[in-house]
Amino acid sequence: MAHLISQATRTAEARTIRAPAVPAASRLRRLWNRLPALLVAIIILVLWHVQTRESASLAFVIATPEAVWQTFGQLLSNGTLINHLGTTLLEVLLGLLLGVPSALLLGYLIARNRFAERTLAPYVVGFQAVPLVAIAPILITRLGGPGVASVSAVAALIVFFPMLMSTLVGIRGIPPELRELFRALNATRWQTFRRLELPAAAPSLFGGLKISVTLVVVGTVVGEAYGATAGLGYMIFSSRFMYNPAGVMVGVITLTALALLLYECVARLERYVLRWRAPQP
Amino acid sequence: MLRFEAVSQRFGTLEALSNISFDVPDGAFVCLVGPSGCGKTTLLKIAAGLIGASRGRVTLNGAPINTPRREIGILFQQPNLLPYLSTRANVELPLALRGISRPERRTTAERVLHQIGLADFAEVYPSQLSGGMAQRAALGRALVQNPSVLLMDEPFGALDAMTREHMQLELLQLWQHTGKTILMVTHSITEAIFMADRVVVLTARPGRLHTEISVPLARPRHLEMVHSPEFGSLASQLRAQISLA
Repeated sequence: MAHLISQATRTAEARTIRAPAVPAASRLRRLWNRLPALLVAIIILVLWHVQTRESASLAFVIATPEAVWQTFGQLLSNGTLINHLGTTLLEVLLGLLLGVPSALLLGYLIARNRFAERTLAPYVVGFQAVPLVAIAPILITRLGGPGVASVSAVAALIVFFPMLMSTLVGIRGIPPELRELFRALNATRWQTFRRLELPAAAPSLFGGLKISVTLVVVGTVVGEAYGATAGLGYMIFSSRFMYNPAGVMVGVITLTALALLLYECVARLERYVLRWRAPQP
Repeated sequence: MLRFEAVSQRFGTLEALSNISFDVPDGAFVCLVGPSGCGKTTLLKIAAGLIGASRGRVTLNGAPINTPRREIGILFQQPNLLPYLSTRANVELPLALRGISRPERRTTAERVLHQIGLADFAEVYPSQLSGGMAQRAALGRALVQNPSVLLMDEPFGALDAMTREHMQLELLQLWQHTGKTILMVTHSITEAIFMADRVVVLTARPGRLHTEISVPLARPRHLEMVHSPEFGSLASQLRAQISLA
């Protein structure tokens, strides 16, 4: 029946196909698109500058941008910053490696199994209301005292809930018709997981992962608040203790940059994995 | 032969289908019509082995259908394509799930893609297909296992009138070339008469067999036939039966 379809119909039906992207002037356009974000950064810097100028009595609390820049150079050249960043990075990666898969597993179980849902869901939700700062000391003591392992566990805990929720939303959002299709094709449980549930839930999972990679950074700071001797969080706390506001700011800015970098990595991975999604107009 | 033997279906206290028996001979084109909510879709799902009947059974060449089978293809009103797979991968899906090797899958899918006129759109994702093309891809997915029976649940119901007519003609061509047995649920009286050898009419809930009307129009059918007096009298006969049902 193929050749019954006239060329005209085909062309008409092809109208939904995406037109090729225009390469010209795209670089300039991208710069233009970034301009508002850059302006915000400039405004913040100016406000910050004015603030420190007018309140000289607050010199122990707020550092001037210049002092922060200077301290940044110092901490970078003597290797302190890199050392702390290395520790934090390790904790972040371990935290994600620990928190994300366990949330995926439990989320999938709760989404697919009534008994698991009835048994576990109230605790999972209730647990989210427990302030992390309240239980972090307990956790750290139980996990062999301050160190990379216990801080990673605290970081894993903070990513657990958003990841679990996005798994639930993703798996439950799969249209029943698609499940029916897989049943009609006699798909095994594993095939249904591998070829339907995982890819169909991927948009939601990426949403959760984007939240997780920014939260995990916060998690390491909370973890390092209780007796840690390394990491950016430790650097922030010890700088504050020594009335070194510039050191605090360097730590904060480095953490922010780390979170942004992680976010960008996930966003790129998402664009690649979810390339099937219709291009946004 | 696809045979419905006293099929009844209950959902809790709700009686959906009651004692339905009829035959679809090999190579026949039968349409199933009836008021909305009379259980047409349920009946089709029982025949596909997706749900079990409360009483009675459906057999294909004498063997009861309890689970989904390869010889029976099903097409729903919505194309239900996987948005993250290309058209080709969607068509290949039933073969992939059966563990058929990639080269063999490729060859079969290529043939089907040509058959349904989507060869040029093999690498395109479903979000970029029009409604008619998406439904055609779904038809390709049903055909790729080379089923002897096609069950269709209002397959053209979501399409615009022009595309719908096109698809009806294409389906009739396909049917005549391949000799498949087709059982199609439809809401449209015109579509039922235009496509079928025989139209089975169900009553409102609980769905019972009301009557069967045979359609003696000549084959191959043409769109102009719709305006013939013979077609008109068949249509009004069917309409009268549905309103009695």
